[in-house]
Amino acid sequence: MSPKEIIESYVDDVVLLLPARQRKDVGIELRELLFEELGNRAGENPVDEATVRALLKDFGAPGDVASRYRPAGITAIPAREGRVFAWLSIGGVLAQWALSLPIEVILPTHDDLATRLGVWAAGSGLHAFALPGALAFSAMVWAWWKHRSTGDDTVTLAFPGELPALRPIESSEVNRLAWFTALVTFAVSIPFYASIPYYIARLDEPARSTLTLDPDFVANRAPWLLVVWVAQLVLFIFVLFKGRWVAATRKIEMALNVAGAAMLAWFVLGGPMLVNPEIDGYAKLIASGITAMILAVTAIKFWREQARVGKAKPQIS
Amino acid sequence: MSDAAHDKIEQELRRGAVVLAALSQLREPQYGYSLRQALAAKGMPIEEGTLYPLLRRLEAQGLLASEWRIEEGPPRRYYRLSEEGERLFGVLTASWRDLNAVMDRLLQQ
Repeated sequence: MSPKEIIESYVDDVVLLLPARQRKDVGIELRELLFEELGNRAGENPVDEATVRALLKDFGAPGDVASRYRPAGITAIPAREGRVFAWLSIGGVLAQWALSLPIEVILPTHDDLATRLGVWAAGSGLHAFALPGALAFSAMVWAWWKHRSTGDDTVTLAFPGELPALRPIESSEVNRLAWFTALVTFAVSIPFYASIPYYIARLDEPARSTLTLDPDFVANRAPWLLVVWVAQLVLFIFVLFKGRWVAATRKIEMALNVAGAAMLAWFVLGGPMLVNPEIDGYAKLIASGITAMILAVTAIKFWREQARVGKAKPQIS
Repeated sequence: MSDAAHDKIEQELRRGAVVLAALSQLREPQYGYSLRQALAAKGMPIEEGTLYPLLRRLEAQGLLASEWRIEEGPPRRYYRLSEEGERLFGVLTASWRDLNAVMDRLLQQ
């Protein structure tokens, strides 16, 4: 990985955490300043990866750097009231549990204790958490109203005391061990999924007739799923060897996602997927949900890609 | 008290001075790196990760004006004091001198 790539990836990570209107300008400036700092550090020596990483480590994790670029923000819950907020939240939740749990357990709504506890947990137990949410929401609305009355539009709403998370210098880098494990799992699962019709045919009734895939689906549409999976597998193996995502691999991933979503839409609209009409309806509902999710994730990735600094040029006045 | 705690207190002491130090050098246009070099040369080294975002924040507050310039090398964003920044610089300078005189008296006792 070249020093230029590392710096650009780092700058991308910083600017993605900034408001959209600031990204391009701050990104270009930060990139040039880091190159200049790097040149100063390296002096007469050739710039190597270790020097770049040392520079970026000193500069700070992207989240911390982005925080420094942002204005201070409004304090929704002042430090002096933090303890009161914590006591009201925790005490309020515990008080609600103390009232609702005995009632639910004692009342003979269900025979067994486990069911009563389950009903309580999903109902009153969960609803008790609305109190901290309501308190925080009220504090934010109050802080926003006070902010509006001052007429200062350079600040944004933020909670105080937010601790900077420990983040890697670059998020584009991949954890090779985790990726290797995931890829092996993925690669092994592809032949398994390809064999699903074979295994369904050997199930006992009524499972077999319930899960039997439509012959036309198996013959004409389903094989394309394997094509997309194999293409994704090849891409992920390439990223594993490269050690990080780059612009080209990100674009290919987005294209494969769109292809996968189009293929799923074709599965749904192109005729039955399963022989049993009722189960086919459920399968198509799930496939439609997955399609929408893939498209939403791809749209977010596309939007983030547009925000990357890349070869952006400044607006010279 | 640990060394880290000492460092934190010292950083807090310096934090207030950093804005005034930066403003003092921006009566003439400077870009981020040249400003950092100028401050370091005069005995006020400021970490790059602190100084560069600070310039943007001061600009957002209307204390600095900036523009991109291409002269030698890559494009650089030059900052200088705005009218409001010049006024604030005058106020902060007076405050600093008063505070400095008081602190000198206190520390001599």
